Amino acid sequence: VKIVDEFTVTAPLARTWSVIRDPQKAASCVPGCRSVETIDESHYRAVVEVSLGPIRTKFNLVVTVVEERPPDFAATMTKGEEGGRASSVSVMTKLSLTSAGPDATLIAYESDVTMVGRLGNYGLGLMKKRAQTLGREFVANLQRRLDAELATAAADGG
Amino acid sequence: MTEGPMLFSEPNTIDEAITQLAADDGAKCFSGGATLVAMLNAGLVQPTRLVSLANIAELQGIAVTPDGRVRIGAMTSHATVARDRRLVGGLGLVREAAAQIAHPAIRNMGTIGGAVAHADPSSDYPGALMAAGAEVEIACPHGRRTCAIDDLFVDYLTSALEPGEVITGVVVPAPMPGERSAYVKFSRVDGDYATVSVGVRLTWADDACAAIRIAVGSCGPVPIRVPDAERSLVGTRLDDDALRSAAQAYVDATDPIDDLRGTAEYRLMLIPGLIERAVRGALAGLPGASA
Repeated sequence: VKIVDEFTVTAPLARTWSVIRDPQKAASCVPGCRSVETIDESHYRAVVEVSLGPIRTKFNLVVTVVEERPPDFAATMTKGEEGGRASSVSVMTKLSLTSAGPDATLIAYESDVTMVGRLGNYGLGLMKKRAQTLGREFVANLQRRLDAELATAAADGG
Repeated sequence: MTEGPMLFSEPNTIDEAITQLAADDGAKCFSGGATLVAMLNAGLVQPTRLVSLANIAELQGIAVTPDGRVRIGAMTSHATVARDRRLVGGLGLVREAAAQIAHPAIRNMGTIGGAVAHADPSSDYPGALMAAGAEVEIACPHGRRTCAIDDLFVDYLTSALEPGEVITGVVVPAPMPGERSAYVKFSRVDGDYATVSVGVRLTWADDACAAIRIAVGSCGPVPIRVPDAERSLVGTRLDDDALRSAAQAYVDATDPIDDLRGTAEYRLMLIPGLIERAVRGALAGLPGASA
């Protein structure tokens, strides 16, 4: 399944990039992300919980940054599986940032999701919609995070 | 995610059932099992306990209340609803929907309470009951409440039921003189989930539409009603132009998924024709209506 979407946040490009590229900050914006740990500069381990009505699951993921051109492009490969290996998922994502004014950044992404196992069998149409909902929640969380950072920076006189 | 066996119990009262559900986070209600057992088999859900509602008397049967409303107990099978001759006129769509759910074996097994609680927007009852204007009776740990069915469906497979709450029945408003209804389902093959479904309940009086509810199923996270479009039809003779513009409002309000039953685009193309078919079907036989 391919998911293509874009959205605009109210923050300068450099700051948006710094939040997205900081694993702890970015993970705090991912809906259902329970933990993230840095393996090295380009590898991270994360645990993400996802639910769809009565169906609840937890994925153990490894995120690899395969390409990066600061401050406006990153490509990541995310692979993981549920506990018990009932389903596995791999996601190739390309993310690009474009300045849309002094205080606005356009974030465009393209994800190619492959899901195998019980959840893959269940229906990718529904999973795609769920992913879009999660995407919107991520955007809302990211904006909140950026607002908080800008407020702190302003308070610090920066 | 549990190790060890799944427990099973069959309480005799709703209070006992709620106590058992409240005592175990991983417990689930078991009504007919038509969907739940399939999900268990597919490994999609792993409850620690199934609390069967089969022995609870108040969940059984269909009854007409003194004011003419029809109360369908939560454990009433689709087959029983499909046979009930009291569900006619404005209530006929509930019977038509029940009769079109899957196959006879599943209609003997599945229940209205289970189907409503599962909140699958592509199943037949949710849209039909929204068009019928039904209310849902709910037993909670601290008593009873009712919920308009429009407020019950929240998202795909997600209802407004809180943990530990159990649906005890579905109540459909009394049929009024001049009321008609229809449920139209478009599916790839007989017995499949709907690609698109439409339920309509309307009142025809003085040669015009006096009231109408239309719900479109299988085209978004919950069945869709567009009250403005419904209002635009009141006072009309439900002629082609009026229906066409109302149907367009429904197309604009829905957000279907692509799946093996049809692409989102295909579903949107089906909506106007199915709304027209449902309305014409409801009007059929009414003197003076442009069916």
